[in-house]
Amino acid sequence: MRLEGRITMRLRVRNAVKRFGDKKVLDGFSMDFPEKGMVCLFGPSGCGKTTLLSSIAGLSPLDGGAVEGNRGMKISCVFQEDRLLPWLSARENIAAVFRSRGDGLAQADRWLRRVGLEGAEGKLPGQLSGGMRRRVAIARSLAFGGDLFLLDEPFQRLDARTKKQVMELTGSEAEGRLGILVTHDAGEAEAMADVTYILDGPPLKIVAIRQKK
Amino acid sequence: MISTIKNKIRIRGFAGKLLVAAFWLGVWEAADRIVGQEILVVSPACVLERLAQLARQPDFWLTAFFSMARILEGFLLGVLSGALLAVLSARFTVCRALIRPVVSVVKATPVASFIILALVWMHADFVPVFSASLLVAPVVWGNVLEGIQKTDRNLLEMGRMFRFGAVKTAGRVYVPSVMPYFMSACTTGLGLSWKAGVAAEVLSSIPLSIGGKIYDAKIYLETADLFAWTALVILLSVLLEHLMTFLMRRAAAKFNFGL
Repeated sequence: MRLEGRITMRLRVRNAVKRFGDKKVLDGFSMDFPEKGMVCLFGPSGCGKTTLLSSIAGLSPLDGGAVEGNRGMKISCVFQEDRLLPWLSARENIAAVFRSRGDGLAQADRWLRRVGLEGAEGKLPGQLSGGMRRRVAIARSLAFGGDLFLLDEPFQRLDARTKKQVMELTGSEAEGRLGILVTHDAGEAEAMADVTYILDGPPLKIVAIRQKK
Repeated sequence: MISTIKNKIRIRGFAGKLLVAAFWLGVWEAADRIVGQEILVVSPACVLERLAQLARQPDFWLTAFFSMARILEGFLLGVLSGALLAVLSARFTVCRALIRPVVSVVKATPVASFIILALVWMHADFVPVFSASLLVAPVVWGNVLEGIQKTDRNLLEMGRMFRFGAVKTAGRVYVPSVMPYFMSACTTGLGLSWKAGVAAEVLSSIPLSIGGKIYDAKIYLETADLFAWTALVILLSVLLEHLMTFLMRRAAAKFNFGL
């Protein structure tokens, strides 16, 4: 399926096949992504959205087909799980994505403030609430930056007020770049997406496409 | 308030340990009185007295120092070789396939066989070092390999995603994950290195060695000396284990390792 419009095609998934045992999660799945903007993948749990995201990230090799256009791309990701290093403080977790530690620590403090976590810099992930850990994971991804943001249910466990702030921050940081947002939340899709793909599966298939009005 | 509760728990724990020690000293004392022959069992008080006498002799401290140096050397050699082989085994399947049977053979072979074989191969002075390292290396290899294999795949993926590179992935993900396994191996290995090292000293009859003194005690049927030197081995082993645990915990706290 090809999305025609204001933006040129860049990232592509071609006839992707991915099996887990006998289960085919991707079975000849194809999709074109715009050069920039926020693309939302909206669909039920277990339909194969995360598998698609992992393949785009290059973390999960396909059994067939290909992902084109992701080579050489700087990709940043908010995983479905927080994936914070449990032995590092919130600040150190963010600083770890920077080359220089000194610069990283200063940047980490700035990012923690931006997600409303001032005062939590020295805390280990185990000392933070679920929502706070989520914000550290988002801050880490935004701090890393990149050409492509993969956001796998990034705003789960956030209260309504914090979610709004963090969504705005994420939207502004991803502006001018390509973001792929996986969500079950229609409100998130509505608020953030330039285009929403309604998916079903497995195997993953596109049911409908909604452009932002 | 919390610190008071913690102190109470600590005091209770310490008192409990003292009670256990007192119980077993009582059993030992009772055994001595029942047997009634100093050549078979020596009372705790006699052992302490003999240890105090030995400590006043000029070669006592040199003997303890040289034995400890040999055993520590063997322990460190075992730790380094075991850890290095574990990293290679985790990285290369061929390496793992080659090392696994060797480790099984080393684990199953009586330490005395290795010691006697080593006495044929090398200078007696090096036999305790070799024997200690041979017993420690398989334990460290097994534990470190397990630690590497059980490192959270999600964290490794995260490291790849954020371009950690080999050095940062090792330092930030692998090392903290493996540390608890490594520390457990070191604790077990230190005890084993004392057993193997002293056994090698006994069989090699090295001068200025605890094993040599134990061998002399056996020849001259000096049971009090045998008990005293054995008590010294236990004391040094426990002290070194505590020192090692303390240093590793300090390092873990400093470098944010997960202990």
